[in-house]
Amino acid sequence: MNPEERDALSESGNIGAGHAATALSDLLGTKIMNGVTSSRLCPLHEAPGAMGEEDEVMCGVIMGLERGLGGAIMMLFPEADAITFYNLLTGRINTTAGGRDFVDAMAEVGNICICSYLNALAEMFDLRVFPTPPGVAIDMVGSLLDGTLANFNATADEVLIIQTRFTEGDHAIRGFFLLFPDAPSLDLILKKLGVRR
Amino acid sequence: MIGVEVQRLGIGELAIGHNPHVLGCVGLGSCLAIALYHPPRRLGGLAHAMLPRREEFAKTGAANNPAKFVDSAIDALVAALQDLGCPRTQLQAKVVGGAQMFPVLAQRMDIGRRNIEAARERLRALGIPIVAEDTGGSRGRTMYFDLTTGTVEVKYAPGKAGIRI
Repeated sequence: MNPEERDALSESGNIGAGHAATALSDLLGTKIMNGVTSSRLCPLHEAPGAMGEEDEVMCGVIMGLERGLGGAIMMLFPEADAITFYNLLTGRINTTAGGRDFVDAMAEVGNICICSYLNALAEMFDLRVFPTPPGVAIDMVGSLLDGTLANFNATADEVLIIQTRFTEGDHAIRGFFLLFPDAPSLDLILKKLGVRR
Repeated sequence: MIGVEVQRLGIGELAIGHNPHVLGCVGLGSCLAIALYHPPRRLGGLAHAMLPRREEFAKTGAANNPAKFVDSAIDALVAALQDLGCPRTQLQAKVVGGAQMFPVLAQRMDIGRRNIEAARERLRALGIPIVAEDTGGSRGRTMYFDLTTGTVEVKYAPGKAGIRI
């Protein structure tokens, strides 16, 4: 990808994360700001290591993609950042991740972030996108990713990683959007970006 | 295992090792770690496979790496160990991984279960017994294969007790 194309891809992340911040502000009743800190198209085998150590515990929210755009999309929050989100959402002071309430809350946060990003992507590239309901797991990042890579990316070899930072007052929350397009969908996005013809 | 060299394998990698080596796979979800051990010579091999059967992907470029698929990874390990003088009939297998990390997507994503089935089928066909396994479920795993003893140490996310198999 050349710099312009990379910028276009980053811009979809910027817009999506911006929408997500607005929606989260409404949900939490507080002002959430957002910025994209990096975006990259990464070979799939490097994906787990691109976000930290493979055994770092993260909270993953995944939604499958059907029809217009195929594959899956995942939002990953490092454990401490997921806890910060949960505490902001519930007004509690939890120090551990897990439990039914926690999973339900993160499903909602993930759902909002992912759908905001998908809307931005759909508008920008004139695509129709149909996500499935979210699934949540809290585990080692390598474990969270390998099944998704295997299922949705078996025949492609790249994953789009957009790193974002939400801020609320003094709190900074790191999050990663990961888009796993199936092979035809990745081609489609890259064609729309002018990368492939 | 202090002071012993630990070699971590990423997805689609395999390696042969000998006493006092330790081979490991970190952060296994639906991926499968297949450890083959030859007790008399303390030689063994480990593969970190992602997909069940190579032939299913024969028409795509993805099939060029045998270590990425459970069945062809097992074949490659067996061939490498036989080249080193470890007869197939004396090998033992231990299998770790094959989880379903997001049960809500079970209908769309059953790759973990298929990986486990592919390993059992291939090992049975080769006459290699599975002497221990820790597979399935919905938890991630990290495993270390100690070539000195053939022991496999399985760890879960921090804060949860691991096991030895």
